[in-house]
Amino acid sequence: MKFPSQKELAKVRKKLEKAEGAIVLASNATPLEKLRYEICRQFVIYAREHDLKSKELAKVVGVDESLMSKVLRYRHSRFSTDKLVEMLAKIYPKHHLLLKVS
Amino acid sequence: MKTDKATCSSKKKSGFKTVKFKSKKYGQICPFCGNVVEMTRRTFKIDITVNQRNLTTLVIDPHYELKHSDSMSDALVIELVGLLDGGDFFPETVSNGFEYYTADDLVLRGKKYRLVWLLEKNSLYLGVVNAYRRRS
Repeated sequence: MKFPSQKELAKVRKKLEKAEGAIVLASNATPLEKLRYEICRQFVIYAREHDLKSKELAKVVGVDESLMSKVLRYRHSRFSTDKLVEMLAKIYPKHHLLLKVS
Repeated sequence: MKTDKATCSSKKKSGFKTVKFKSKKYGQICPFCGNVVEMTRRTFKIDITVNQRNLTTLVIDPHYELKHSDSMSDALVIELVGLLDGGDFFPETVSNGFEYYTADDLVLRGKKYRLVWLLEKNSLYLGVVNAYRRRS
């Protein structure tokens, strides 16, 4: 197991000082918040599986990079659920959404 | 749980003064026994899944102790890391085979925290780079 040098870590800490950061789903999240969170998660998984940067994914989805960046960090309050589903359809045009109630 | 501070004979947690060695490493002077204890990384066993990767080891860098030791501890960091379990995250930056992430507004007992952490490609550990409490 290796670890970055202190110099490298100091550089990263400074760089990420003002980064927005990802939001973690709250334990008391409502069903709607869970749904919206799950949609955002699909973009994160897609970006990872296709090795895409935020800018590249934004191009695929057809939105501004800053908006894509918010979705990838689960900051979905600026988006309607309609908009999130519409964006999701851009990366999975032939897929269907399944609703599971448990 | 074993920390650097526990190696000091006084075993007190507060009042330590941080010093920087010529080697650019950090250490802490115990106010009770005067011993200088080097701040080193701690390793813990964990069992969580992050980014669909099963992680078995947590490495905590002692950096948070420089400014945030009053509101942060290894035990708290472990709890915060537990909140990442099952999550998928997009890296803020990637450098030299390490992916760096920031998780914000992590809530524990009504208080908000921020965690800066890393994953090394093809490794099964999570490294905590910094952790502190959010005041706003």
